Amino acid sequence: MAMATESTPGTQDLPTFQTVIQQQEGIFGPLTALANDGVNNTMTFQVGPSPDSAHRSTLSVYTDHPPQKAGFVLVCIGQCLVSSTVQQVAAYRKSP
Amino acid sequence: MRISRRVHPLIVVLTAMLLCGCAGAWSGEPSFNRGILLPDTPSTPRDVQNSVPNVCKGLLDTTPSDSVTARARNDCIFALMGTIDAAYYEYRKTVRGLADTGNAATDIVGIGISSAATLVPGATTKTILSAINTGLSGAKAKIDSDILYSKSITLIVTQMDADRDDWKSRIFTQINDPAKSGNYGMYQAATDLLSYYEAGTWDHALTSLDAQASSNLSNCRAAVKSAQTTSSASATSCGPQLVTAVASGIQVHREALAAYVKGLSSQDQSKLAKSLNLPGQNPLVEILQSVAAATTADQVDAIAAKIKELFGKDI
Repeated sequence: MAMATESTPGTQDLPTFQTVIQQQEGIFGPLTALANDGVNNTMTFQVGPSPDSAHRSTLSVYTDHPPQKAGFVLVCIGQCLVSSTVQQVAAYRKSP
Repeated sequence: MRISRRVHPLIVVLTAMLLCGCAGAWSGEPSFNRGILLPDTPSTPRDVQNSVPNVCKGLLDTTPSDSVTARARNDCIFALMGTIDAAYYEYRKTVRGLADTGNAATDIVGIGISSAATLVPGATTKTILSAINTGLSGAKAKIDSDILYSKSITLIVTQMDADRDDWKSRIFTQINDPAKSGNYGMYQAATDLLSYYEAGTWDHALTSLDAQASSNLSNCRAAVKSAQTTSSASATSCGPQLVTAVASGIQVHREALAAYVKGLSSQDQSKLAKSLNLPGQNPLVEILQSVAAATTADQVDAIAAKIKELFGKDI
């Protein structure tokens, strides 16, 4: 299965960053990884069927370990730039 | 695959070591087995034996067919992860110190891991965890003042962080996802922990950065090709293309285009990629990237027009 990596500005706030990810999932397929390159955030997607809008990734900032969220599964974690500040970000997806 | 990826740089590096005569290189990276975990054999140094987390004792002899409780498995995974993290943070601090002091004459020994060579069926978990030791090789690079000053070192450390997060995500997902957790044995966890460790090495970060550079090169080539064949001013942009949020109407159109493209045969995807002036090495991904890069109605309509022209489909 092909993978695709896209970059998005690290200056965006968390809701905007989340919107970008959800829109990209609608194009490529499910999100699999998050990171940053010092300036931008990078998002890796598994190319394939896109999740429906109810099952697209939602983001949370956390410290220490990513918390478990009832009704959601952890998709990935990564150090990302949120409003240009490095933060630990976890992506979740609603359980089927 | 993994072995061949490592052999070539290893030969180059070993040759360089012989030529330079730099045998006493500084080894800053944590050694997974020497410092963290080594098989528990009579010859294992006591300090290393003592470093095996208590919760893991008894689990390191498991084979793929052995089952362990999720609780025991998770306890061991978190203990080993904590040990690896502690070693990594010390290593990162040292590497960052190099950037601060600008000690360009210092040698860094990266660890070239040929661990896959020892992963044979029937191997026990601790064999996997010891693989790094048997495959340990000094991938040595003299720090060149031209390439390895603060920015470069920061970039490499950032890459190590990102790669480690990627593996940590995979492990957490295996543990937390009820659909996967039941089949996630200690044996598989050990291979993932090995990869997690490897992700925090200099050598792995350089490989990742190289892959990213290749991706950027591909973007640049596509941009140049596009610039040569179209008059679009924006086609000359190069390097990683940034995607941003778009209005919902445009997004609906983009998703419809993407869904249609994914359903095309690979032959038709190639045809469409060619008509969009894309390199065509990975047509589907390249077309989807074009869709993602289209942020205005006109840009999206242009892709839709190509589809209409080639396949007669109105989207």
